[in-house]
Amino acid sequence: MIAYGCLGVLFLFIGIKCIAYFSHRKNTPSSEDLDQTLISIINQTGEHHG
Amino acid sequence: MVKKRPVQLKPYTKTRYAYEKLRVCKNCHQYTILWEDTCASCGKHSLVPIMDYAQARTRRSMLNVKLISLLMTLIAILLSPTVMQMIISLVVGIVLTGLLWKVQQKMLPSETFRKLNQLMNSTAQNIRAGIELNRGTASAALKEDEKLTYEILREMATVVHNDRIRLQQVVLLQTFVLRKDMDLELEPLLLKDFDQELAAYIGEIAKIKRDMIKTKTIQYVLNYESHILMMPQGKQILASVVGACVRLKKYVDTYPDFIHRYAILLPKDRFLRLYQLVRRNPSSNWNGLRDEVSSIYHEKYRWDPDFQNWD
Repeated sequence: MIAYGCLGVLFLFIGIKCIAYFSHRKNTPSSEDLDQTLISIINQTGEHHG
Repeated sequence: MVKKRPVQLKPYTKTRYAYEKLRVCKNCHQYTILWEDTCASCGKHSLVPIMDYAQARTRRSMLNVKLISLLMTLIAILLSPTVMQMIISLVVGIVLTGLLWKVQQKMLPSETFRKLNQLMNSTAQNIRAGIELNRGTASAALKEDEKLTYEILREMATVVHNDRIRLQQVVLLQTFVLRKDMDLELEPLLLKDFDQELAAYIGEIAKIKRDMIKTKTIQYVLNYESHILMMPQGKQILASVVGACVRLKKYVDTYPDFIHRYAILLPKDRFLRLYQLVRRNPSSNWNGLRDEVSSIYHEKYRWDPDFQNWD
């Protein structure tokens, strides 16, 4: 029975992971968002120094 | 006046997204936007594009999940009292891990993007420090190698957006003999305010690479026309820009007054181009530009064979 319990935990673990992956995919930033993030990070202080 | 030097600029590799230029050292996590082979901070050959770095970290994290899954399968097998249960645990474990592996493969691109976003936000300070280090490299190179300094600034300008870096590039470009085959840029260098060096640079570009003169540049020239006219070569700069404008009808449609003001200063080949445009569009008057072209034609080119041949 303990073995089946372990398999149950494994099933839950993999299920949760898969749900997490699918939910991440919905909120994945696009390349344009990443570009914007990088440029705002760099120019945040860049303007001050510049 | 500074004597201009002939230089051979390193080709500029354009990337679709700015972050594709950013690299990180796997050893010391120092960032750089430049093309160097070794990390400026630790000296090791461990610089990788930030996207590859994010993907490697995503793969490692996915591998950890798979290992946990296999470990659980192993525990289930070891805790099975019978051979039958052992076989069931093994099969179920392999099937579930296989399913996980399939999902992970499908999700790798989105997880990598997510990881990259996390990475950039969590290491913002390091990224800024890396860019500052690049700025230091450019400053150090300035006295000995202006070409290298310009190339560094050009790379940095991919992600650093301010007038200071644009002006530094323009000033350096004005120390070089510009040629048509050079990898030059114009619109990204346009400043918010007027600058004589930039106006002179626009004038040069208008002569050697007319197709780089586009709406933004024409608008800049129009905004600061009075300032440019105060420069010693101001009229020539404006005439060169007008010469570049007449290559396309859309600019004649949009800026007929501007072209009208400097049409008299156009060199023969550019005036011929304007003359052809006017002749091909008999229904357009362009706020009196047609009359001005006609008057210049009669005054200067009436007997010119190039104009006669075209007729």
